[in-house]
Amino acid sequence: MEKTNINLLPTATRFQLSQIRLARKLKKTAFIFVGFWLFVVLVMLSLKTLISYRKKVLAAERVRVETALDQVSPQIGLQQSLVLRLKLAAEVISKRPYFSKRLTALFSLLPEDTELQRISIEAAHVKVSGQISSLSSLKEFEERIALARREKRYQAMEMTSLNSGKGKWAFSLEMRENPNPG
Amino acid sequence: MDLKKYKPLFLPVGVIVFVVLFMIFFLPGQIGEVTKEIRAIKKNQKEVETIKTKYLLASSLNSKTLEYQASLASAALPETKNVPYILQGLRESVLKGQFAIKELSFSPGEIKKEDESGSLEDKKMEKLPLELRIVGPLNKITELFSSLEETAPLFQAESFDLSVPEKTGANASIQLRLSTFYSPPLSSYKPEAISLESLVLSDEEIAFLDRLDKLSFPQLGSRTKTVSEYGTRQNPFSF
Repeated sequence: MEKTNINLLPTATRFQLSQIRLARKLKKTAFIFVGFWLFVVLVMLSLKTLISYRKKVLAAERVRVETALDQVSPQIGLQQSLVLRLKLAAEVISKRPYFSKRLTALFSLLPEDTELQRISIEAAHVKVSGQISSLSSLKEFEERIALARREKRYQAMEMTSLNSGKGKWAFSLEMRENPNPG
Repeated sequence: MDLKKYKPLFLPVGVIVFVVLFMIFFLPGQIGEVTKEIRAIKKNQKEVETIKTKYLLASSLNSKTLEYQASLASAALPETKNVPYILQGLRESVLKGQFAIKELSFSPGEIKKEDESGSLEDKKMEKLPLELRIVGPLNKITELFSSLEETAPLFQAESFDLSVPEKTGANASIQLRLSTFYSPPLSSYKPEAISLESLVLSDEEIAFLDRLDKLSFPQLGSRTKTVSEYGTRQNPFSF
């Protein structure tokens, strides 16, 4: 047997009924929304309170540690000054031309019977002049120069003059040292 | 249209609209603000931790060692143009090389800044030029320079011109141009600006201090202890 829905209510009443149903649904939705809103507001408020409390605690802690730090400020100042001074001193030492080493290297080129007359060092430029008393020493000197050239101990190396007189050999040697030796 | 008919719907619809508008316009701003605050707190917390560490490191410094190290560094690189100190250092090192000073030209007022290179820690150091003529045995010349390199204050030989007059034989006359340096003390410093790294000397810095300790000091002749002998840090105070 077929079921037949027949609404015998008047049209106005039917409209009112559907309005009441809709209002109920809307109220329910509104309650959910309000609940969610309240939850969000509560979360936000709690977060803000927590943040404000944490800020206060941190500010107090900061004041405390800064005061403590001030008490050791002379040591910090001394340490800071020490570190800076060490840096500067290290820079001076690293830029030193170290003439003692350079002279030792230079003397290793010269035979024992060399009579030095002049040495000048200005930046990387080295000039040496002197006299060598025997031909065998001169040969030794030339061999040492050739070896230094082969080993590239100097950027440039030139015997600028070599004169013989009174049984001695007067020489002038010019060198340009490597920018980064060793 | 009769609005009165829809009156029961006004309140729930209004509430829903209010909540939706709240979510759209008010909530993102609040979330942004809270996030910002949390970030600021984290940053602040990190800073407080750094200050705490600085305090711990600074309080663990052994004052005696620190003072000694600072005095070593100041002896190598004085804080002022200490003319007698510089001259004494120079005289002693020249004498050690068995040379004698014949002429000395020193203009302490003439400060030559390291403008050319632009380095030297942003001009925190001043360079004082010296020029001298010294005479002495030719075979001691390397000792002379070694002695100059191992003396405080720090000297830097810039150039030299050595000549051996035939009459003097083994004696050499040297025209030597040197520089010495000084670095004025820091006028102000901010404990909060100091880095944690600079509160702890590195191995290189300790080694460098030991190297400075081996220099010969003209006015600080009574040094007996080495840097390492001064001991290590004290136990840090804990919060």
